[in-house]
Amino acid sequence: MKQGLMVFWLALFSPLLLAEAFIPLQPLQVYGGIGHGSSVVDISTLDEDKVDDSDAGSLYAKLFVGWHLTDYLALETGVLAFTDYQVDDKDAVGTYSLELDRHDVYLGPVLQFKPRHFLPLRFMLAATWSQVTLELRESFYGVSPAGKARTRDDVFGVMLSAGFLLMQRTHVSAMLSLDYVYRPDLFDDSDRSFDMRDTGLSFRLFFH
Amino acid sequence: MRMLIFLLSLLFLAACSDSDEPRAPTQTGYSVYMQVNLKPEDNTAYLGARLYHDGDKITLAAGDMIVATHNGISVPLKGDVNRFGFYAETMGINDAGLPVNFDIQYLPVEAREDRWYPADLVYVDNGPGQYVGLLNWDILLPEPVTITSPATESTFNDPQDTVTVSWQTDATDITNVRVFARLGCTGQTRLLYEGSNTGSVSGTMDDLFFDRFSPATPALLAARLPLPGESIAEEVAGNIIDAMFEGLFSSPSYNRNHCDIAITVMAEKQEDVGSPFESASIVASQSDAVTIYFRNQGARL
Repeated sequence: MKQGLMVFWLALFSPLLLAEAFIPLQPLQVYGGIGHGSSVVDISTLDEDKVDDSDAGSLYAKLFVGWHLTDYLALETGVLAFTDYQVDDKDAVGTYSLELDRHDVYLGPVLQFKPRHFLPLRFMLAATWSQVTLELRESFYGVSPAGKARTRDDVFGVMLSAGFLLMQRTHVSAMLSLDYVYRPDLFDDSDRSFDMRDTGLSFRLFFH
Repeated sequence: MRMLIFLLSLLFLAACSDSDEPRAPTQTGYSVYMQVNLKPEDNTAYLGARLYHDGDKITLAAGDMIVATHNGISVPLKGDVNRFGFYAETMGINDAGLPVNFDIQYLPVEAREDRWYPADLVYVDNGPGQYVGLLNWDILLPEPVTITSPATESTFNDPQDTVTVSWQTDATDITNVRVFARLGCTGQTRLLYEGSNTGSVSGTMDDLFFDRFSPATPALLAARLPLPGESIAEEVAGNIIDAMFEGLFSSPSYNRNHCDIAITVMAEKQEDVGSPFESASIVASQSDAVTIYFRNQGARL
């Protein structure tokens, strides 16, 4: 489904990609936009073998604004919202389902330039503030009532993004980018804290 | 007549439908099988337990755990999702003269310590279950047992070589002895003998591979461990033996002509448990082990 989404976006905009001439960047121009993508989740714990990541994926949405400082440099901030990452497992204690819900706010510089004979490229390195909610549903083989519990943590991390502009018009541009979000030491009050990474491919629309 | 055959067939099918799981005791009320075995060479005790209520295995879910305590140090017994109702663990024994106490406690964090996520921060807290406080008893270990033959690292070269396993103990309360052979070449554990404290058993190397030691074990089985069931006792002891031998040998080569063998003698005594248990079999044991080698000189390698 996630691959299908990317194919859909590419198919939709490929005629524009071929037809449109690129417009130089405008300094001091403000832009905003939305994005949509799918990511692969990677969780690092002290014991990698214990993580069941058989269904390790999420969809995500982006909302962002930016300001072109120069022809090549912009400052961008935005919000990422991911669908829940879910892990199901069981042990002698009971069966459990774990959902990790995460939202990230980012701020960082964007480098944008157009190589000769290629599409305009954009690279971003941003600081992130992430809020991760862990919701646990447990049942106990009928011995004790089922229930749910949750906890939350906020961490600072890093986001990297690299992509190219598929099309650019006077007031709208489209971009395909590879995004990487790293959230270290989640729930570090526990001796089972973990790192969580999302690596995703997204399609973005800019309005300027 | 047809009706009789039909009814007999139904009875037969019902009997066959029983699974390979150890059979539950038929008694009503609570019953328990538990074993503590001390391996003196590394002062490690191997613990295994099953509990029953009205013949059904008790599942300690949601954070209730059987806890063993020795000389102020407590160790919760862990369950296994593939063997519901069976709990096992190892613990250090620094004074074999002091008892090992068992009780059931509510330990929601410790019960989830094998989970990868921060289970110490987030768990469904239903509080102590109905079995917490059910047990509280001390098990005293018997006197040590020492294998006097064969000498460790003895080598046997012929399948017809006689292996005599002899042991000695000052204990006067031994009710059962088990002699196991762990075959490094196949990864299997053989029960060579089980019964009264005869002091020795013997057989050929060939017998050792095929459980034909003398005196024969089956004739002695009926008089032993009346409750809560023979197969349960075997399962608990078998798991303890597996834990004791874990990592002792490298991967099996399946070459029986070149085999390292660990011989273990387990001397057991029964303990009684009072109310609320209708039936109980609490076994405390000490074991000794030696390693011997079989190198079949007559075999083509």
